[in-house]
Amino acid sequence: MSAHAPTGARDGVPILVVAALEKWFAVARSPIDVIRRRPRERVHAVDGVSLQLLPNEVLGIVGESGSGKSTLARCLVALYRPDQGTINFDGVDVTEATGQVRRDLHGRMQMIYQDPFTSLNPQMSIGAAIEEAGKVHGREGDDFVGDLLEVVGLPRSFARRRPRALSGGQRQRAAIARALAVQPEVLIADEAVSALDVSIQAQILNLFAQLSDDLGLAMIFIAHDLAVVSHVADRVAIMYLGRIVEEGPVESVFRTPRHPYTRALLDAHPDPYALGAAEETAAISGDIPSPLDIPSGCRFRTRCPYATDVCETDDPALAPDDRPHRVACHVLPFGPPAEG
Amino acid sequence: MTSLDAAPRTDRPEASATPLLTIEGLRIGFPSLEGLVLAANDAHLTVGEGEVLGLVGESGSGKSVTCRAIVGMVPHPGAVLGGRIDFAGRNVLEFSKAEMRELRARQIAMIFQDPASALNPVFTIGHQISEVLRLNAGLSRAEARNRSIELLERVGIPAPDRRMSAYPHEMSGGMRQRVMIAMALAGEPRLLLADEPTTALDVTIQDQVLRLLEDLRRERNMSMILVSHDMGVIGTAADRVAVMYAGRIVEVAPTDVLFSRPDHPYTRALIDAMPQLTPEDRSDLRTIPGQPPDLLKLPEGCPFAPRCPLARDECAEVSMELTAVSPAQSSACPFARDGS
Repeated sequence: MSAHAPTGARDGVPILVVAALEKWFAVARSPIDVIRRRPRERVHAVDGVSLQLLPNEVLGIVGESGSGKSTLARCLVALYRPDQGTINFDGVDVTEATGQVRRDLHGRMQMIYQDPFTSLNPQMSIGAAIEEAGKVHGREGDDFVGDLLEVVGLPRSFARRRPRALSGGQRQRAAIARALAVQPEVLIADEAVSALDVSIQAQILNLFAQLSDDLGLAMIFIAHDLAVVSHVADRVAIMYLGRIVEEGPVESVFRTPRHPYTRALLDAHPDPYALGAAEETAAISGDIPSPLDIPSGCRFRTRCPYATDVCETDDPALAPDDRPHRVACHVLPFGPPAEG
Repeated sequence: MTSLDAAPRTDRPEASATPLLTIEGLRIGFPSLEGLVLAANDAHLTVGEGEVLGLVGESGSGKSVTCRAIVGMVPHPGAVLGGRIDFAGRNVLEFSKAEMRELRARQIAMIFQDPASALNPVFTIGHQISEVLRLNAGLSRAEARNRSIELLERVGIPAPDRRMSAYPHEMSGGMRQRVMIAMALAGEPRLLLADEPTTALDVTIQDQVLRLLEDLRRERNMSMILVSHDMGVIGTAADRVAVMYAGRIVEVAPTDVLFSRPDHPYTRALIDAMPQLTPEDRSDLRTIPGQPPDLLKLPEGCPFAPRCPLARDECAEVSMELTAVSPAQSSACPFARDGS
């Protein structure tokens, strides 16, 4: 499948550059609010995110619900139009793209969702769905359907089946095959293994790792499960209330987290081999604040055990450090990051 | 209560001498057009006084329906076909409707994955908790209100007196699950059935809820069956674990034994398929080949045989009796030990 070799495989030059991205949604007003001329409230789902993706790289994005990770993904593939900031894909401005440029972009970036049952047409056979996707993006003739099914680990005979005749794991494989049919350069997987049982989840995670190794695909892998991200990603970004609070190589971020939120996420992750360790750490208290009412200063300070006065007044920026491991925190209670 | 010993337990209990709950040979069937589906097939379980039994398995393994059978809530058209469920010395399968209501009101409470669908959206949570107390404990309106506030406070709801007048939709998922726990505690149950109680929650909130359940269990010497598909949750919260596959219990062991010396090949495979937070090497996860079994077409003998690395010809004839590996551990695979 040489066609999958990334066209822009210049090492070190990012294929995707997101700068100061913001996306907000207006909240519906009740008739009373309208009569009283209350201003329309806005939810800042993504509130100033900058990131880069290198060709060949797998970037994990972790966050709890409401952190804006899915909104970010939808902005990247131009399903949402961002309100501020830019997304640059291999020299093309995604936010301004229209017509043929936009269609081309869709061929180069593909998204995979949590529930393949809702993203595959139930009336269409798996083969037809894959073929259609390929044809729309100018692929024809060759038997790419069967080849793709093999790439994702399904028998060629599955081309004739309907989605409902497949199990959850097989459906996710079929959805991946359809995404690959357009020969994308970037795959964006949004909670793509969250709905699967452990044994099947492991198979699909291995498939993603294999796709990144064999086809040289760049990938953005969004998940709430830290261990899942740890397995496929090279680099990870931790999101909280629409912001990236820490970012760096997976090893470094997970072994020596610097942001109190990252630390809390890691501590809360249920690990049966850390028996007893969980008793010693304090659970972080409270719920994630409403994105309608984002705290002043550092948005994590309401739940942070280390918060000081500065955290209330000053919004910490993700240090524009040239080091690969970056963090947005005034206090930095846990010492320097690991080398590398 | 057999013992009202108020001293807090410092370590986790061994398998209790007199189990509070004993399930023997439980068979639950669902008629379908293609034949009878056995959701539980000769399932055996015991739960000791004050013990947390983790029940783990993939979707369709029968863990939820086994749990529901204990309180007579097997969903239509399923039915218990055989076996017995002894709770505090009496077989609940022979209970009349009135006795079953009484059992659910005072002895066994249940919490579910999705508290939003278990709470009535048109009543305040105060109303719903008070209702339970007035019906089950015969409290007056004022007493019930005070007791409800105490319960909400106990489960960690801030400003409980004000929260009494909140509707379920005004609360976050974690808070709603706390309300469900408060309602479950209202009848002072001896056994709490928790069916995927944290699956819908974010990891930091999951941690809070698991800690709350553990505190309540200690303080009330309450027994608990914790149903989950997540080996991590089971490993951190359960004293003893039963692993279910295709309606059968394939292994039972204390949690630390199960994770350090799993016996059944399925248990091993589940543990190996778990992604680790900071894996030693980031090579492929070990996967379980194939798909979870079709309950309509179960093979003769061991249902795991078609996916098992140790499978041999005898597996088709082997009886699936749980046999003791050690005093605390039993497994349904007679070949696992010669294989290792």
